[in-house]
Amino acid sequence: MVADHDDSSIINDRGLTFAEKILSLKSMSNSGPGRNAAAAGDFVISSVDFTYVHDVQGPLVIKIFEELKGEKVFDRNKVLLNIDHDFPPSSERSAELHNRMRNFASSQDCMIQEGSNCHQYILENFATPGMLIIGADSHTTTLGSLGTFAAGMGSSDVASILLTGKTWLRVPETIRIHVDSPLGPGITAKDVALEALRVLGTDGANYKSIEWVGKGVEAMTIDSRSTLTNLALEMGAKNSVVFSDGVTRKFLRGRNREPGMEIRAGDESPVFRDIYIESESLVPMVALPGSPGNAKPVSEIGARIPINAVLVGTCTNGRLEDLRRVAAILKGRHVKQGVRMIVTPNSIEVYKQADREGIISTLLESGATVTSPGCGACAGLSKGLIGKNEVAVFAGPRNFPGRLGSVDSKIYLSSPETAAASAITGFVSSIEEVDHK
Amino acid sequence: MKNVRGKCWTFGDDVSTDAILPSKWKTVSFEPSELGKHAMTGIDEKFPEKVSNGDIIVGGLNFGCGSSREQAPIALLGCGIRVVIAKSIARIFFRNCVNVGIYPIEADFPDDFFMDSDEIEVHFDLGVIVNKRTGKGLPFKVIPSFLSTILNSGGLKSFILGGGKYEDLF
Ligand code: SF4
Repeated sequence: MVADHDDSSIINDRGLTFAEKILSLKSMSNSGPGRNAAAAGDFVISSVDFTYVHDVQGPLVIKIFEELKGEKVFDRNKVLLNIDHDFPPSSERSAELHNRMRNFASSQDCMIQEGSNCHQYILENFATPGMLIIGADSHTTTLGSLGTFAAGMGSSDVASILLTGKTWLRVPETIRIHVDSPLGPGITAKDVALEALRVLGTDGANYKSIEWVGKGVEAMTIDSRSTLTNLALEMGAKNSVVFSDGVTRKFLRGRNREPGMEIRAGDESPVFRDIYIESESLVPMVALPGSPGNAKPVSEIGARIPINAVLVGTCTNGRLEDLRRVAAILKGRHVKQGVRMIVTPNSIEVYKQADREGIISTLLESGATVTSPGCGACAGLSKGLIGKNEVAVFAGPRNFPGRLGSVDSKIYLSSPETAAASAITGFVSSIEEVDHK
Repeated sequence: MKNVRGKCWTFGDDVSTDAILPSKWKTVSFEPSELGKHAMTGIDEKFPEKVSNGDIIVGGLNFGCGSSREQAPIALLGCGIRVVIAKSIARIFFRNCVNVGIYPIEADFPDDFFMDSDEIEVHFDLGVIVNKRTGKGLPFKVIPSFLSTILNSGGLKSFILGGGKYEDLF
């Protein structure tokens, strides 16, 4: 059935969720019964506004695109090849794969970027509210922090998008997570997301759209919002969104970008589930090794757990705000002897700004190591991997066995604050355990 | 989709793509036969030696969670897996399975329904899995017909190369 939309009536509809609205606007046909709006459960064929791929999936996407006899990508201004997972290359193989990407980008005359993490780079430069973005990476959900519908897919799907500019999607049901009041001191978006993971588990939002709403979310910066939308993926979500508002518009204005199309869920739109985070009483959270769903308050871990490594960075926690917080805690203190602390700014822009603000030197003086920007050890390929029987605190996205190297290592997932505090004490610790100056 | 019969290998909840194909192997090659040599080694080092063509993977909740690497289902394909059964399957992995030609099945079953090495039969026409050891049957949700169309052509690439278009699907 060919969708026939009336844009303004869809945008103003009080009974539609964010996902239903945006996928109605983007769809060229849908499996629904012929209304002009798509409803949760319908399948739609949608046009894609932006697509990207990094150096792990990129060479495979290129291979499939060529096998599909693709000649030109659907729109060279809507395609980004991004080298971030193993950059600078840690092996000859990586160097060779990067060259395949460069060659493809130059033959297609499309964009290529080297160094910054893909999600962060697109946040900084391209995403605008109302876009439908598909990336060949699970954490593409991150870009929903700017009011986009952003979802990850695999290489075949993205190769076919390069070819046609289109993809199929099932319109997801919605889980609305309410954060109704601002967070207490020392509590961050990461703790909110870990609390949501405790409630939902790692598949509680499988195939769903997560909308983050409430005064607590409205008070957050784009950096913090991006941590929420990033970690929604660990709950299984297809996409995750914070509706565009004044904070979004200001962020975009500061970058000379267009305000895009603001879409928010209708106030009578039915949801699959509402979740209320008690943000006022929230405490520092940590996910125990094995799964991001093993979340609990740091204070409830029980035993003192000695650690070998602390890592801060990734598309979850490598933004400027995260680095500022870590530096504020480490300033004038030193990382515990025997613990290695590795900080990976998420993008070149973040790195440069952190340098201007003196953050990099504060980190170095406290004994931390600062790596080149990008994914760092999170990609499991280089820059700070952990070995057998080692224990790490990780301000990053996930802690499945083997995520940072050895399958016989243990990873505690935390906020940058908790990571910094742990680096100082040498144990998994919340900021309360570090003396306030 | 023709009905299949095969030996199953069981795994627990939250088997991530890091377990299905550990990071260090994800860029060594993109060929199924090469990647297959490392399938499931994030959880069972010996798996590639034990598995045979036509075997079936059984997972718990959230099978295939984590990274979007399509190399993970390609590795399974490389060691002869054509069907994955789990209590739930993470969405990107689900799409990737269809795209590379593996049939993803979600079904509700008690933990002891499948044991390693059980012979099972999957009846796609009826939407039922039969465990030959116990004789018990298990209904499952058949995937939407447009996905069967993609699967029946051998995956997304073959579908497109065969002249298939998304617009024709529904
Ligand atoms: S930082 Fe980690 S989770 Fe994010 S894109 Fe890179 S490897 Fe993936």
